[in-house]
Amino acid sequence: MKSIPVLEVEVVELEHSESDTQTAEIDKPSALRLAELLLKDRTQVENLLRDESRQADLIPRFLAISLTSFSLFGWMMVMLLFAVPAGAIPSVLAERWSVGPQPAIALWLAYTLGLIAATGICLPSFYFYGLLAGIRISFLQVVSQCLKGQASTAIMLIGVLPIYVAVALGMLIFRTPEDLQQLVLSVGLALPFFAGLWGVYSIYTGFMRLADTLPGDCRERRTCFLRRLTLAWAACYTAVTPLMIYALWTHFAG
Amino acid sequence: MNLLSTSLVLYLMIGAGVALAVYLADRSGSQAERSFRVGTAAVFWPLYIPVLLRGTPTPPTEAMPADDVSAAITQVDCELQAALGSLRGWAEGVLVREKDRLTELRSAWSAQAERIREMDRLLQLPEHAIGSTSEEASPRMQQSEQARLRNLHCLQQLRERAHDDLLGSLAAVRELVSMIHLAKFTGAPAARAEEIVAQIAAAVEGLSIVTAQEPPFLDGPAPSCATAANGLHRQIVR
Repeated sequence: MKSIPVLEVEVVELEHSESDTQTAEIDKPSALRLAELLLKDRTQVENLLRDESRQADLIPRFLAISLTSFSLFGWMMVMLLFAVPAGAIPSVLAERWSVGPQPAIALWLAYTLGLIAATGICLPSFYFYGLLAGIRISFLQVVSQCLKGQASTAIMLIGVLPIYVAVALGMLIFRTPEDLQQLVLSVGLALPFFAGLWGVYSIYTGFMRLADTLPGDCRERRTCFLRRLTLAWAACYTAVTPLMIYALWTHFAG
Repeated sequence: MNLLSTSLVLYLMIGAGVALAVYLADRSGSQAERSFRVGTAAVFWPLYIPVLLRGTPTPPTEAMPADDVSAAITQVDCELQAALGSLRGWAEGVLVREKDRLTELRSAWSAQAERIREMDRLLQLPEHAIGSTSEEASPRMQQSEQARLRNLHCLQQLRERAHDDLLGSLAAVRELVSMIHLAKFTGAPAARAEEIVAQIAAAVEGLSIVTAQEPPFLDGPAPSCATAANGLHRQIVR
């Protein structure tokens, strides 16, 4: 050990200030940076999530991404529903829909709150599934993984939304039959669920990466079990979310 | 009020409590960030409960004094973190496996630096200044004074050795860090990176072994020096 040259400590201060800045950027990425990472470098997001000291900071940021995107989607749907004739309103909304602030706010709240609140309902089951599979995971980690899935869904939704809006506007401009308009709007209402497939995939990959905390001798068997449990959770979330959105919609729309 | 309204009221009441707890527990970040956290905690409180239950992250026990040793530790630690960060997507498994030992390494460096500082403080005390023994002093007093000087000399040697070992460990890790970069850009297999990281993590054991070893001067001629230094050594290690 003594044959190794001794450090040159004089140069420390300059180098230190630069690395400090870099470390701060990595340590606390902003919501925008996190969204960028979710698109470009999911591995780094996973690594951030594995660091327990960063999970609490990441949760509000994932939530901000999700809320922004779902709000944007909600208001876009409200605009489209305002623009179509009454006969084209999807039957699930038709009973309580009218052109006014209350249904508009109700639909926005139902989507924005419902999509995220459903996660809250499904969290305990996800935690227990993880424990059942034998992976080493904390409840905080489950929350951050789920919110990462939500944020991925939100980003995919934002990506798909312009295409959908272009199609819907084209349909309005060319005055297509009301049945077709109703179908397109129904697809629009289900758009977060299609986008959610990417979120589910994101959660799935996140949990699969945690499989390396399993003991080596039973890792393969347990990973298979974990895979099934993750898919079961996705199915559970997919069943709960529409119910939650519908319950909130009917409640807020009066 | 129907069932949903009643449930919502209860839900928001709990949410208000959680929002208050979030406000009190974490005051970091800008005003907008804090407001967002508190606002969303009231509505989405199930997501914030785990954050609250994890407890307050323990702040660093004591800011490390700005001396050359702590600066060197910080520099090497930054270089190490950057090198480990570059392993992502290449040899990540080893990061997970060695996470604990790498954290321990940083702690071992800090502990060693603190040890050195403690010895420096002791050696700089005025009562430990080396003075000449009066000719008129009794033989018993002269003998004690000589033993005291020997012990101080032993302490000085111990300090030098701890300092050399720490800098040696830091330099070794720095060398290994450069090897990680080299291995990455020469297209070495992930196993090579894993081997290097394992060597870095093993540096903590090197430091521990050095700390636990008997100092070489303890087998010197003067039994009083050996006894005193042994006692001192045990005390520092403890």
